[in-house]
Amino acid sequence: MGNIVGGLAMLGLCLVFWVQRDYSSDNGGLFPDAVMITLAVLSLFLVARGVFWRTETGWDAGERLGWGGLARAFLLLAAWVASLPLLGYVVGGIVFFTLMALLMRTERPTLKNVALDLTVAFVVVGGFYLAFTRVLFVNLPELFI
Amino acid sequence: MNSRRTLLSLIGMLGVAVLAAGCSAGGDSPAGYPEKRIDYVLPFDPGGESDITARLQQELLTDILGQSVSVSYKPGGGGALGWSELTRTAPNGYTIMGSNLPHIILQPMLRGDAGYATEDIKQVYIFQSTPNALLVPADSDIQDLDDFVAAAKAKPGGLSIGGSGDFTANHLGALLLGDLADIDVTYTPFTGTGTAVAAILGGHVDGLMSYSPQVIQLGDQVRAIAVATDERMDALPDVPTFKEQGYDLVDGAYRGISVPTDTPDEVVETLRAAFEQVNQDPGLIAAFKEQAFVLENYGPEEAAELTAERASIYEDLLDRLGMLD
Amino acid sequence: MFDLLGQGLLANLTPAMLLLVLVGTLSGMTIGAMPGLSATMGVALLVPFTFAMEPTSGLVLLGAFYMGAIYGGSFTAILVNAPGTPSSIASAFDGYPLTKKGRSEYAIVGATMGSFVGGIIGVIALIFLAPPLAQFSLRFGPQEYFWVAIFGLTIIASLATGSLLKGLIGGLFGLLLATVGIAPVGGDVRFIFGESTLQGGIPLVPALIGLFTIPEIISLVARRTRDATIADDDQQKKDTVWGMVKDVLSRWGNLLRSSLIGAAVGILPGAGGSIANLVAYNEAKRASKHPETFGTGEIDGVIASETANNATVGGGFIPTLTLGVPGTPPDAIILGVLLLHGLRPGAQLFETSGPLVYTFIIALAVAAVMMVPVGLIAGRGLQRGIMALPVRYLAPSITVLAIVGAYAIRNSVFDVFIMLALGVVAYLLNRVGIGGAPIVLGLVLGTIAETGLVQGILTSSGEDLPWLTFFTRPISIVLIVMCVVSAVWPFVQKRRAEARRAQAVPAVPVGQSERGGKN
Repeated sequence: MGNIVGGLAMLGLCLVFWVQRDYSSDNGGLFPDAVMITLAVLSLFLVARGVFWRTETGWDAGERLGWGGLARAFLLLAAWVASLPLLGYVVGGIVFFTLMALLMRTERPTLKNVALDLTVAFVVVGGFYLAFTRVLFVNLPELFI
Repeated sequence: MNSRRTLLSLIGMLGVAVLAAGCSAGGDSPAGYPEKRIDYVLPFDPGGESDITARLQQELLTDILGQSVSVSYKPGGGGALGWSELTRTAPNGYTIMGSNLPHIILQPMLRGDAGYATEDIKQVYIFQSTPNALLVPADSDIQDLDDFVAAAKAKPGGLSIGGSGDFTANHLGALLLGDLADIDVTYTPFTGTGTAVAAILGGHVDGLMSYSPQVIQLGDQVRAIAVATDERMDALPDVPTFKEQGYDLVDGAYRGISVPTDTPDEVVETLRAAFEQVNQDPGLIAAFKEQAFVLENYGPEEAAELTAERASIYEDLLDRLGMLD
Repeated sequence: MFDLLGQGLLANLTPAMLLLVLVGTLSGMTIGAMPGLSATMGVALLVPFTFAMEPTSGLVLLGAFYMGAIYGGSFTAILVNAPGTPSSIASAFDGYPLTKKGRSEYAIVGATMGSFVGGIIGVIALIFLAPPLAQFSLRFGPQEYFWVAIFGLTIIASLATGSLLKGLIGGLFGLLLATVGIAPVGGDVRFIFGESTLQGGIPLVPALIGLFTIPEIISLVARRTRDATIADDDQQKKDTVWGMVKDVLSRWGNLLRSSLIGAAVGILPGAGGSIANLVAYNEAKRASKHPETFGTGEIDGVIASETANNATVGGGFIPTLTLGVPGTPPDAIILGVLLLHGLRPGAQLFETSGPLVYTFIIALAVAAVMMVPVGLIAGRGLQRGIMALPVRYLAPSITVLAIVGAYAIRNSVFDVFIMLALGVVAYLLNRVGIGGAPIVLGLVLGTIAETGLVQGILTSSGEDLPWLTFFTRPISIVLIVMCVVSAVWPFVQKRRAEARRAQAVPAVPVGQSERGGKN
């Protein structure tokens, strides 16, 4: 199944790129077209392999993570990144750093744990903030209301 | 339950604290401009002509404006990324961006969606230009522009001219030369002045449309056969102009700074005056001459005029060449 | 010349100069270790400070900083799978698996000693071979760059010995990502999905962080090894630092080969450290007696990558100083500083400004030497600190680093979105057996390959068949042969290993090497 899924995903990607083909110079399409066609052909091979060669699972042999854990990781990261334009680097960073640290504890967090995690978040996020804005003159995203 | 509520209230308190801090740091009134650090953003990679110029100006600007000026980079899309970002930046004068002609004319003209329009960018000052210069390898048979044109006529489409980037002053210079001399040359864009120079030193292209500073930097490794100025440059007294060889080609890259269009007039005036003063510094003038940069002094109105004039020339040329859709 | 070398050496041994080199190396290491702050950006940030100094000191500071920054990129690559600069991509291939095995200290020592040797050999090449090598590098035209990129892509064959098909698909996916944005030659606006920000293409550093680091964060957060710290076996083992140093230095074949590759690639303008480390990694794997251990925590992989990238420093200055053509992006900035001080590159620079040039060159070597004590103390200190951090703080800290790194390269929140999107895609592709390493390879090399291809056709438009020039130029032919050998070799190697195994003990479990190159 892994081979079929992977191959179809890549074929879909080729399609998404192919429909956008619109070149304005003579040679602008040479390279991308060659890449897309090769990728599509190889993806077809992979699908065919998945169909005719059932003994090979096609999935990666590495560790399997539970769906709950994965969902938590995806959601946390997505929310953190998506909040950047609104909450800015500092507030968003401290909130989601603390949240991530708390959610990675196995036991039920006590008040002391929360305070500790919040302090660590404050130090790490604040440290990076100062280093970037004061020393390196890189402006980080600000709180936007 | 208890701990969760504590967490929420802690986050809340923190939020309030940061809000308060954010508000007090504000205060962008044009009257007292500038009151804090100014970011001088270059929409290119570090190391190019724009960067060298900004580095020469940085300290002088700090002295004149009384606030520190920091230079940062936002490269991508040949500058388009930076300029489209500029149109979305707060118009308070604390972000100023390097802007180049002909880039800001040609990108919106030739790309479906460059992310900005030429009119969205308010040029405050144009302080420098680098004229186009046509170079051939030192061991080439081509001695002057006549030889070059003759060689191109002997082999239509077979003579290759390198240059830096697509739809840059180099590219337009090659197109204009082809148009004026009625020759068909193949322009090959390289990813920057550095790689373009390597191509001519290695003999991979027959000629190079580059900028005047390269004539000095490369010394006797190349032969400069023409420079696109009205009169010979002080820094390059031995290099003839296109004009004196019979082709009315005066073009190059102009560099300046821009702000968003809504920026208050007082702020624009402060910046204009500052850049004008920078251009009078003897140290900077000497350094410009050394690099074969041409000192330019265009205020906002003059810059807009120059832009309009160049735009009509380019539009006419590209239209005749069928490069406009 | 030797007088000048001696003078340069003496000038460098004054306490003030040594301090300057130390400061440069240390700050370079710090910046280099931050993903998103590349060596190029760091050098640019430092330039205004050098204006207040006299030219020699300013250049020495910049050179030492550059050397340190290239080395510093290895720290985050090894410790948290986030290459600090694109020059340390291959250091993560084996460095991070070593960290997971609890051997991060060994990896750091390997990177340090490799960087030292590479840095020194690069400088030696710069001192003795600059003019002839610079002239040779000019013979590389568009066609040759195309083949260099293809040669780089053949590394996929050895990165993905598990499933070549999936490796190739990953590489092509990377190549396709590289075509997003303005065409490098021709200026077409391509595949921007209606988003004008994508004109700039998929930015390399955010993509690197996304493809390598985000999948690791996902698995750290999702796994329930919550309070644990990452194992640190080196502490329990009786391996002394000195023992590790000797072990690394005994691999002189690898050190020498990788240094030469680094110096050679550095000379080619436009290539640089991001390619050198990958090529050196591949060659180390090919030369290895046990290539199947690569990708699972093989110290030779880390050494090769880090040796080569520091050798590009000296190599890159060869065309910069002799021709005025910058070999690597940071060289472009240093070239600008030279020009601002009125120093024109070229053969005459070595004559007219000999003392300055040789002081600068020797300072690069001194910086390489200083990396050893600094790296063995500060680098290992950083390693201890990170290893002691509980995973529940490590994961969010890496996330902060990833976000800031993706953002800082262009001050763009959009780049952070790209990083996360690619990270999630990379995680999912990992599950179907398509690793992140071939994708990165495609992304790095795609633009170089396309640029060479189209430029080659344009510059030879005077020929009847422009295509033919890709197969007739002498250096191109050599490169084509190298491509074929590199693509075929992993299979020869595999066949041989199987034959050997069949002869010895037939009961070796099959599929041991299947995991090679997964990242």
